[in-house]
Amino acid sequence: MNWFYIRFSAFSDSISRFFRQPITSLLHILGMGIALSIPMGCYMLLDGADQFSRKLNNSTQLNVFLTTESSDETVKTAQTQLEELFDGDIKFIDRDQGLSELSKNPEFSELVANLDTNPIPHLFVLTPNQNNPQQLLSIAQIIENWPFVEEVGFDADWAGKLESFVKLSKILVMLVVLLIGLGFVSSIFTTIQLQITIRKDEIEVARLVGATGRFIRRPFLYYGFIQGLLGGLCAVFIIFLGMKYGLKFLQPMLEPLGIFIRKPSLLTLGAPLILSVSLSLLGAWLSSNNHLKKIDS
Amino acid sequence: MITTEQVSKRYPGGHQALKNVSLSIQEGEMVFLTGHSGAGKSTLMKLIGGIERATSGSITINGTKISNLTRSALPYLRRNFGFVFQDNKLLLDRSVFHNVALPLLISGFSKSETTTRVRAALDKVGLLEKERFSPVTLSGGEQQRLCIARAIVNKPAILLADEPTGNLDPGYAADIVAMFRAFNRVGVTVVIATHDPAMIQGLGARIISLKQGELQE
Repeated sequence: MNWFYIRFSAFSDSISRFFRQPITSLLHILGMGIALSIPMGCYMLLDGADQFSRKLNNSTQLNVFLTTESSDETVKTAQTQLEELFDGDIKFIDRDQGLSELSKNPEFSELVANLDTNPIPHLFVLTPNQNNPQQLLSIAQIIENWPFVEEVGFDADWAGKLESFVKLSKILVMLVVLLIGLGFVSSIFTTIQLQITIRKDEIEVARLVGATGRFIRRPFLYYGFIQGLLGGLCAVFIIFLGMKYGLKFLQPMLEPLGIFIRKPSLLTLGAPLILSVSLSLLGAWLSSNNHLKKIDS
Repeated sequence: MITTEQVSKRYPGGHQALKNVSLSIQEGEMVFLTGHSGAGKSTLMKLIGGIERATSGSITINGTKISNLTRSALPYLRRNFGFVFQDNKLLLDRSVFHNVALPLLISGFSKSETTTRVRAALDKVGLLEKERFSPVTLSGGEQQRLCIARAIVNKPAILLADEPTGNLDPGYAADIVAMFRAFNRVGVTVVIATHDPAMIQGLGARIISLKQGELQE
């Protein structure tokens, strides 16, 4: 009971001190919320782009165009060589079939009708059993050197680049989170220093009448906890608002790119909260400990 | 109860506040520490109370050497003392009641026990009716009595008072001294640092004099 009473007294005192300066506290919380929600929002956007690049990689195909003068014999040779080299589905599209499919397109139907000869080459569409862009790229480089091959289309090239870009961006976001984290700790450190200055007399008297370091540190840790919790909740609220209203404007622009932002999971929403509380507690602990060391020396 | 052996204190910057002070104060004794300003009275009080550490020598309280105590053990030692200061060191943003309750909150007393003890302490110093007041509204003498109530609420074995009447009119000062005398009569060891000769006269208590940090025989 006494255990609870002591902690409850410190906690209620910290809360009342926190709300004694409502505008300052509110601005501080808002600053913390915005600082945390920006990298979280970027991370969710990148997560959508990541899903897209993975999907692209998974649907990667090689399009092998033979030279226009390739005979049926060459096609058979190509088929045999591809089957030896490639592990996956090999689909052949005859040049006549290619032209007929092109003529079905209203934009090209008139053009196709006026052609004297068929300019479409024979095509092999290769779909790998296992997705390995690097392996597929080396296969494409081999096929390209065959004399009867005109061109090899490999759309995983830019998908791979996009994936690398997304990975790099994620690392950058993590770096931003780290820097914001350091800023967070420094900001809480200063706030608690200010609180310590305000309560300097109280600390001195408490120390004289037998308060332990833990007793003196406790209200400042609670203060940091309250600030961190409210800052984290503010970040979650901003993310929630962004998902609910911001996405309405953003999603139509992202959809043509194939990027879909997923609804945040509980973990995604919990991360800024946990981060905010932990960093605030760390800042408060460092600050109060620093002061205790000073007055004890 | 309190023993100092060859205690010296030198502050950073070279100021020698105490030089080889050895003394002994018995349990239940009332002692006055006297001397001019800068004689080392306050420093000796701080060393006895475990507020500061001696540069050399040893201080023993109830058989415990302060120098052997770790930093984290010192707060528990301080709970054996009641401190009264010339400048009161009251918390002006808290009520009279909450100022007195602070040592009990620190020591982990329950709410009901705290209320009982605080009221008893305030009653002893004649401030029970002002428990809800802010210390700012009290007179100088009342503020000093409030400081005494905070010092005795923990029922300490030793009461250390540093210039407790320094800022008071003679009438109020006599009241405060009478209070200390009353506590001493019920077995509390009282050590009072003062440079006021009028305070000491007629009490029959032991007087220890300091001059420039050294004990005067």
